[in-house]
Amino acid sequence: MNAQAQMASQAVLQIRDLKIDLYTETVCVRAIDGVSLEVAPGEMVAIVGESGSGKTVLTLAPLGLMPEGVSIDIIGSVKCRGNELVGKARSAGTALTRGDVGVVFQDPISALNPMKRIGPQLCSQAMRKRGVNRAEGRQIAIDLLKRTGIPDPVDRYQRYPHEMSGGMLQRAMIALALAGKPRLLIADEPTTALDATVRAQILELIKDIQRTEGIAVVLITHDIGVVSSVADRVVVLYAGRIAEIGSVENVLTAPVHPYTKGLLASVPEIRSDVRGTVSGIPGSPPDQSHLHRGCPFSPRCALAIPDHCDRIRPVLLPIPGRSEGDQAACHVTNPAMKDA
Amino acid sequence: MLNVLRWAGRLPWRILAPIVLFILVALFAPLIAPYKPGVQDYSALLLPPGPAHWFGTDYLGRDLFSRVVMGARVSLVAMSTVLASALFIGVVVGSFAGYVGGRIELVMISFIDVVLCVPSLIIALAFIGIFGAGYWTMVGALTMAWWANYARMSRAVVASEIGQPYIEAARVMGASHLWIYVKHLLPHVLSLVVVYASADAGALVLAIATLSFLSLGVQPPIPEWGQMLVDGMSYLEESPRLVIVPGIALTLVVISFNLLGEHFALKKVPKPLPRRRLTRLMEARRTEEEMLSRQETIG
Amino acid sequence: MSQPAIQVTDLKVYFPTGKRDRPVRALDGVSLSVEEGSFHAVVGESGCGKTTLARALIGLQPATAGSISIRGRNISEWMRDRKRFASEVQFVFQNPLGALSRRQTVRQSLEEPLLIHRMGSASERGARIAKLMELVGLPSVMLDRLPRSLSGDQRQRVAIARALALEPSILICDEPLSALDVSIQAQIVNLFSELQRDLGLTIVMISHDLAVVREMCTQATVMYLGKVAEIGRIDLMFRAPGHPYTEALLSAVPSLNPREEKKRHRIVLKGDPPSPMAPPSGCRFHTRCIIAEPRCSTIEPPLEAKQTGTVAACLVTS
Repeated sequence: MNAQAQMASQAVLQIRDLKIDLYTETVCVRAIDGVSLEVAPGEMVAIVGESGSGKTVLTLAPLGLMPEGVSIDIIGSVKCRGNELVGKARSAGTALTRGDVGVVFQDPISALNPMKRIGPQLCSQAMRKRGVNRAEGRQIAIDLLKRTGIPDPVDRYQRYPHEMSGGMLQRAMIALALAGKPRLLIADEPTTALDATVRAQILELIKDIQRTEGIAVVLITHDIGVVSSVADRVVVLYAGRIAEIGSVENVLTAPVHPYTKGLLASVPEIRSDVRGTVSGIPGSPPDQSHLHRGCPFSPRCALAIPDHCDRIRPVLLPIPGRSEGDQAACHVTNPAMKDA
Repeated sequence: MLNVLRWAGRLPWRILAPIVLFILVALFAPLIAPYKPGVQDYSALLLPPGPAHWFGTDYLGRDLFSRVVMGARVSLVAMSTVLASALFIGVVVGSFAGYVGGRIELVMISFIDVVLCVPSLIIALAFIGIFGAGYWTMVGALTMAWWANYARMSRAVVASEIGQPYIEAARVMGASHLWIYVKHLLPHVLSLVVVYASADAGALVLAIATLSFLSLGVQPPIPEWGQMLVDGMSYLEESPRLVIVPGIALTLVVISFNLLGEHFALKKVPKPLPRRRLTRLMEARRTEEEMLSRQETIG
Repeated sequence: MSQPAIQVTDLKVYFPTGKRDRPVRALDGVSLSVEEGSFHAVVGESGCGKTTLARALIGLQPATAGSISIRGRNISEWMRDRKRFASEVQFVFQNPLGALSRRQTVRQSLEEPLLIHRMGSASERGARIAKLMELVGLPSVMLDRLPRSLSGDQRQRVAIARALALEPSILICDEPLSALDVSIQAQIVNLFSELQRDLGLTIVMISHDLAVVREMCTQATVMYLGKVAEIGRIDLMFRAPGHPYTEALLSAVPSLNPREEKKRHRIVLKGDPPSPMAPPSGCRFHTRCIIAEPRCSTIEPPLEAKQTGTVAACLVTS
């Protein structure tokens, strides 16, 4: 069995040709437009995108975590540890109820029940997912609070969410996500609402959990700095499609796709000697209520070839000369496209 | 122009039709009523419906149809007067409380809340008890009973909008308090309050009818549905018409306004798409996609 | 030495809470000065009081004690003539969607300050509005749109244009970039730099993003829990910070190069920021500081000049 097939059979999360349409009263938005992705056990994959890229929908929609009032149509396949989550071939029970996946949300205040104390919330989650009784659940909850670096866990067990600071709450949120002994942790902008000095603590915690428990992590973020400090691989999402994917080093230091390049050029590097060199990307993200012809980035791309980039959809192909797994979807900058 | 027509097309006509009918009848009453409502004809007492009198006549020979039609006008005028005054007082008092904030607002809210605790009819009755029965005291009484709700709503709107950055931005630009209120706050207040008042109108028509039923409101010979109800009660056995006709008119108008109010309330609830529409949209999306991929491969 | 554009002296803003002697000390004795024509950043984390400071500077937040003087006049004097103040000092809010009235078109939002001040005839106002749109890089077709049909950066540009309508010479901005996407932030960063250069504005920019601040600003004030930790020129401060908190803040900014990032020595502070209702005794930062000495918990450090060229409130650094 070759390396890829082996990885596929072990992948914690396997997304194949995923397309997601969101329907509301007035409009139909194609949030995800053909994404295939695999997350190996124990690796941290960061999904980077700006607003409208679909990064949150990508992982949360297959889990059934979308807001009310929006009808969703999911085409394709999303498998978590071999169990299909989507469509007619769906396995009984969801990944969430089985405890395979834990989710850390952006805003802990809205994700935790403000009327219940922290400890019992953790305890009931552990009981539900691991099938233990209350006493064992309580012990697991206290262990988790300790594991996530909350000082004095026995005392915090009895506290309400509003009595804790933002950083503490996020740790509690992570503890809650770990309650079911998941193999996959999905963290949706876990540090965006936190202060800079607390951010580093939480990222270190997540990295530590990844390393010691061997849990795979999908980190959804718009902050490239977050990506460079903890991720193993990066997926750059634009208009619901993967623009570039690869090891974090390659993508951040030698980006191929013009969008990735533009994104990196927009973020100032505080430690460089040069100042005043940020350039944004002109224009704005495309309207996702229509299907795009060709490359969705072409209207904003300085390298776009007229009558080619806006007509033919660029396929995600491996970048020649790089490690396997580094891919970009661009007619112009990926040499592999010319041969295709 | 097209936009106005489109907006009109989306209105809930099933509910609005009876209300529009009511308003039109009330406005054109003198033209519609074949007889003057006070005209008595002793030769035509308690006649059943016929060609000369479509709804028949009452115990004084007055044409019932004309009385019902004119009664609509009386209800509409009285209701509009009360609404306009109650809205004015309520909006002014409530907006002031919300804008000024602090302890003054607290005192004013407490006062408004106390007024709201007392059922509106009791306030009206107390007012009438002091000033006597009659059309204008009824109007005054109902205004006194009705303003508090609008005051509460206006205060809520003003208090919530006033914390918004764009209000602060206006202050920073040097706008006076009056400017900020009229240009930014009042439109929000009115859009909420007017919608509520339009649904409230039904309850007001009923209140007017109730007071007139108790002979405390519109006095005879001015025709009014509630008053006609109490009048016709003595003839319930022989000519139930005298009660049924104004009763039905009253019921229809009140229910229509209530349904209007419910319609506005339900509009705010987000509903998922109905199944059929969803499948149709999904199919449209799939065909769109197929067409697109075919175009792309052709190149 | 010319008079600074803004001079804040020992400013205190306390918010009363239920408890009598434990108000929220949002600002607890802040002093700083902003030079004419400079681009001054105020940085810090949540709870440090930077937003309160911005609001106090624009007159939206009255002071409990201390003074603010702008161009030599005390703020209370300015508040008596709000219109004149508005034509000299303006404000850009953090959230452009909330800062623009959702019922007004772009044209109406831009015209409002001109109408309030009764500036010019209708055609003169129209010309001014066209010029403002050009200044912030927006096409004139957007004039008749409502804020909800604009993108985030377009809204912020409208907000900035509106702030410039009265031709102020001082601009106070409260985190104007935080609500924007990264690729758009960069555009607005460049816009601010251009505007400051071309119009000669004095800008005070509140931000929590040090990397962005370094791109645009020349001076910075670092705040912690209602007090100033460090003030000075950014090029000096960021290269060699004079206060351990500044150093921690700088260290928290990740590098974009993963290899460097993993090699980099990071200062990770312990614990969470204390509550502004019960600030630690002595130096407020001592509970999380890695170079804290015993005396730091009893003595409040004054602002003093450091060898690095900045002014910092620390007993330990030199």
